[in-house]
Amino acid sequence: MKNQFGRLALTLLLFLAVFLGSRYYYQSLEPKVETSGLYDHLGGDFTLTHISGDKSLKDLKGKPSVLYFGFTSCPDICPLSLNKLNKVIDKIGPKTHGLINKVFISVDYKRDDPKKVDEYGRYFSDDFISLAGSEEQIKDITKKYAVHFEFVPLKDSALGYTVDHTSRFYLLGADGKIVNTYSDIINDPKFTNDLKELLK
Amino acid sequence: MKFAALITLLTLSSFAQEVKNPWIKKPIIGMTGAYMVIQNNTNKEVSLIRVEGEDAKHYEIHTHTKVDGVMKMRQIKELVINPKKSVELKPMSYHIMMLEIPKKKIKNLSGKMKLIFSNGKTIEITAPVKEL
Repeated sequence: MKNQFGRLALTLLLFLAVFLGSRYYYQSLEPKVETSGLYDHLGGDFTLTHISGDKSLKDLKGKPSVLYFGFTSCPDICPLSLNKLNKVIDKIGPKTHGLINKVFISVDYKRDDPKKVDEYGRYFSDDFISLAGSEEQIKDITKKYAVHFEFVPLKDSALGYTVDHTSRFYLLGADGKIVNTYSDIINDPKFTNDLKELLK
Repeated sequence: MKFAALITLLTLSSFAQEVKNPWIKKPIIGMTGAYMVIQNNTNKEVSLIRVEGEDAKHYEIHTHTKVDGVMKMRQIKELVINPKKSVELKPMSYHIMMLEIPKKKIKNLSGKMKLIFSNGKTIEITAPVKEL
């Protein structure tokens, strides 16, 4: 009788442990920042090329990520934006750089290869994950993330063409889902607050 | 000494065009932008029509604007400066695009360039390199 009671108690304890454990696990995967649901239909998997090889969304999971789309011949908005990102993260705390993925994606698939994009990203800091892609890959990711880009001929310019592109930061949770997007991460505190919340 | 300074000041202010605060964004790869304020001291409209320099193979006059969240850079043939007015070349706006800077010069720009205006005047400047 005593043995039966003991076994029952042990089984119940085991169930409780499994229940609490799985609840904790699934909660850790849930986004910590309340999202508006606006971005539920955006984002998703992609594969691009890093200087070290292919990189997909799954490689970024486990840490929050900040994505910025631009191109290396961009006169000022891209360097300004990548500088701003470093500054904002410095302000949160220098250790924060190691807790997130800072990702620069070039939409200029005609001119920017992984080596060039990597050199560009490293100018801002060595921890930038700078990615290039083929026409098909860039069209795929920009469609999924609603990034506008367009090649515009500059007929009298040595550049030959420029790339009009959306200037926006995408914040992804550790689960790879878009938490929010931001046009201004310096003056609008929302980005800093959301990122801090994700890092709690 | 004071007299000499006064003469210099008078001479400077009598320039048809003046350039103030020129600077070049530290290049990342073989290209960058140059910025400054150009003042037109004349009673007539004048345009910046060409730029020459020794650091880059090409110097072009561009503008950069944000339209509905999308950045658009365009080359312009001339930058018009109205009479007695100034135009500021600055990031996310008008700039002189320096293209094809040789690798060996990227970290060692002289900053020297010549601005050529529609009224035949030229101004030679030396722009320091700064971080954006």
